[in-house]
Amino acid sequence: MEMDGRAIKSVLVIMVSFLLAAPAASDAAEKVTLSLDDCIRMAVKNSPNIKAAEFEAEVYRGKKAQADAARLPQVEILAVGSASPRARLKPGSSSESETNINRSSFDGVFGRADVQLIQPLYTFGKIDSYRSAGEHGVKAYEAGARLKATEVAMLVREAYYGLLLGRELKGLLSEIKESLDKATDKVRDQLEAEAPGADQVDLFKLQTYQGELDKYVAMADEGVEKAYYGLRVLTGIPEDQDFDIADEFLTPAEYGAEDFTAYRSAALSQRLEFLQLREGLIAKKALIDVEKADYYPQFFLAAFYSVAGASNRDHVNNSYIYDDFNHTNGGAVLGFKWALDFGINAGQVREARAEYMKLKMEQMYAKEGVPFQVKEASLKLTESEREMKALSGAYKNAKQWLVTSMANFDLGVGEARDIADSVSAYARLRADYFRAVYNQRMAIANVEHVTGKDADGIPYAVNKAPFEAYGDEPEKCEEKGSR
Amino acid sequence: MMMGGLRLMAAAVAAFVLVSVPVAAHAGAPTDRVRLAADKVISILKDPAMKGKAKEQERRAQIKKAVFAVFGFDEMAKRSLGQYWRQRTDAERKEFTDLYSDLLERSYINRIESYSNEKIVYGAEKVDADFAEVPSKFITKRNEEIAVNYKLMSKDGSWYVYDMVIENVSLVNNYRIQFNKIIRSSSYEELVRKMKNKRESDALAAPGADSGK
Repeated sequence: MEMDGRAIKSVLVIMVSFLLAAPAASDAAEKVTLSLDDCIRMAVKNSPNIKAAEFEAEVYRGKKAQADAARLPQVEILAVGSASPRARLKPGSSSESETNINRSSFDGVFGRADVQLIQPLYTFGKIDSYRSAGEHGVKAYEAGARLKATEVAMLVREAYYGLLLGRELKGLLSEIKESLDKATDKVRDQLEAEAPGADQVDLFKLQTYQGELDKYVAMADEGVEKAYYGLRVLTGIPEDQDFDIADEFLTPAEYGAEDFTAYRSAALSQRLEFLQLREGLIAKKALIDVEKADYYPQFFLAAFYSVAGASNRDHVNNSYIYDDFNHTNGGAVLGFKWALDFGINAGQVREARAEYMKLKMEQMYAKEGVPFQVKEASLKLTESEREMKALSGAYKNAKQWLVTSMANFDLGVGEARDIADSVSAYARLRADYFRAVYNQRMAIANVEHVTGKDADGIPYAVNKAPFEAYGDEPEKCEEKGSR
Repeated sequence: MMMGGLRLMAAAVAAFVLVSVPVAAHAGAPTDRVRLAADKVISILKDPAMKGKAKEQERRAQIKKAVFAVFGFDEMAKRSLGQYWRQRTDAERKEFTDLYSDLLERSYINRIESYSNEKIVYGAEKVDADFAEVPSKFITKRNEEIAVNYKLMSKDGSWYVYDMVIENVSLVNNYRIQFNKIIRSSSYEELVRKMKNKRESDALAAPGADSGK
């Protein structure tokens, strides 16, 4: 008995130990709650579009690095080796050879090394212009990356507010559906009970509204799902990670709108496109100077040294005779290089000037087009705020209509169909009001975007070392880039 | 007809069932009267012994007692009938007041029972001799605000609600307009007939009612 008791106890202890030691069931990833700022932060961090723009800037960093290094000496080493033809001096001679070169006389080997060092001295501004083009090209593309970040932020806002709108509409529709279903059931009961005042028209009207409501519920469901998934894709949240947004309700924004003149002025000075164009024009101007510099010689200092030795050739000690296979010589020179042509360089200058002018025209177009964009956005903001105010008033009136129709029905002095009509008006206006609030939110975001005011508010700094995340191996780049 | 889901009409009476936010220091007897009734109804709704279908009648009876003790139905009915009250006999007035209060009670108790912890915020009451106004805001779960103002009068040392103004719609004024319209276009008897039909209709469609079929 005692043994059995001990044995049972042991088994129990072992079982408990197993239970305690067993790895906990993997916790489902905890649900994360994200504010709008969180979503924007994550989206700009994950956006492949922004990364592409960062690598464009990196291209120009590479070009600038080349231009910077062009000021420094360049060393070229050439080493060759092969079979060498026999060459023997006649005895007693320092220059006459006995060699007859034919196939059988390639019975030795030679090796040769040439070293050349060139230090540019003066290039008529070519190197400095290249450096300037690289430097301003980097700035232009960095502005491009920041611009991409603002565009990504706009998409996030659209999805975030879209989700809020969808949920508000769903909430409104569920409220109404619940009431409508109860009302329909009650009218049906009254008709069955042959209650005085019960009218089949009321039932048909309610059932018609029920059908219409089901359609709107389906639309709202689709809207919510689309916005939610859009937010997931933009922020890069994995499929198995549950998340929700921090805001519960879609409410109007408190925003002090400015007048059009202030917005236009802000746009012309703050829009990142203008920064891109300014930097781009400086870079293009520098490239014109690069091409023009080719009209002139490039002065340099060069040093060279050449050594060669062959196993089957005598060394010739004669300043007038040079043996490619067997020699030692070197020196330093001052020189210039000048390539003359009959139109090629002129064509290159023309091409560079045309590139510059093309960008200049784009700048002029932007100066005309951007104010129009700003005007459009400013008007849209005004319109959305007026619409919101009007619908707020209309929706309050619909509420009053609903209050009176319900109060009258409660005392038997009003018709059920009046309630149905007032509910329909209330629902429609309330839904329109939510849409107006969404429009106001997006109109504000758009005004901030077209005036360039949004750029500083976005939690994004250009990554000036984009390769750090990927290293130098393209396979790793693809793996890390995929979500 | 149950439109309680929209939270509008019931917001008025629902003030008595909601979790009330503590009132500012300037609250006085009128606001306290409203709040006491609210606290009483909350306790009834939250009482586990009162939950369930089996307890429905008893629960409704207790709610009716707690809530409608603060309603001055005589005054409400009188004001709603307006100029036509003077023309009524005592018996007609009693019949009308009973119909009026019965219909209101039935509608609002249904709505009170569908509430669940929405919030109400009381504003600063205004007292002018024997009359007072208690403003409040009812905040739904969807963050919608509904303004409900209670008008009270003092009688025999107690305050009684004689009107509710919901979203700027005075119930008493609204009823007066409706009743006047029916009486002018038809007759007082037609008004009473409509109200009686409604009472009968509600009774027939109530849960557990015998439809007679």
